[in-house]
Amino acid sequence: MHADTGISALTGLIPSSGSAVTLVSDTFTDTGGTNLTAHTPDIRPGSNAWVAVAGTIDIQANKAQGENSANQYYSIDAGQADVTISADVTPSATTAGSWGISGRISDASNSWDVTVNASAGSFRLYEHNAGVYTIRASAAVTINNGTAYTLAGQFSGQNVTATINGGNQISYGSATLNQSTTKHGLNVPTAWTADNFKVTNP
Amino acid sequence: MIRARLVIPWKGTGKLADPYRPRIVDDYPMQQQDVTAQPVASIIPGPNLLTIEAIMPDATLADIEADPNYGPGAVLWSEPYPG
Repeated sequence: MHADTGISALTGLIPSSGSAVTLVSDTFTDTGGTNLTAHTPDIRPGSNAWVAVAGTIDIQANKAQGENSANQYYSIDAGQADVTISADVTPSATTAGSWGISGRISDASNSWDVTVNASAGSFRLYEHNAGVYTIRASAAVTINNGTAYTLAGQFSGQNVTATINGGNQISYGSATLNQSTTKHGLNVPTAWTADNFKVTNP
Repeated sequence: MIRARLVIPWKGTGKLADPYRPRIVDDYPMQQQDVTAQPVASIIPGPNLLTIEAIMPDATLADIEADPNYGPGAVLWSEPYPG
């Protein structure tokens, strides 16, 4: 287990760069095979923990790794819906498709997904609404399996803006689904990994 | 580069492996966003269309206008990007 220490354990609110406040931060430093539900993030609001919404994500080599070929979502309640979420996501040829990080997750059928897809050469923002997937914005980007990409999604009211490695900005201005949902997290399948997950405000 | 607003057919079934999407993203590389914002519940790929705003190389827009699947009628407006 990775224990909370210092003031972060008390408040979960740590000033980040500029005026941003870190609500959740996780470098996934823990024993291999630990399910995220049994792992304590580095920074979190109160005693909020990772929740398995669908599938299984555990820790391998100090990164979060998916263990299911189908959809899997793990979320943590950051306490706020208008946030910026980010993580370093490494896709794998083992499970081709579009996965990455997710914001405003209410259940396994409703979320906003910021994804990469190597076979399609695409960076995408999905509205996942009642189990139906709709690409609301995308950019043609060369994606190499085995390479880490920093995915970020900024949620502000009905506006969602996403970037990959700080560029190729895509956005959608009518994000009414789950507008007040405060749970955000990961959506990585078998052999995909995520590291340095962070939720900040703004 | 060109920024353009296009009227495009929907494609897909809404499944993870075949999401609803503007058909043109399968045919031409571009950066695009849905500006119609049609509710998911009422998306029916045929015959419905959607409007996207896209950024692409000049040559890509020329190819789209020459493509019988889209044609110049698919382009509402275009302008140099950045302006």
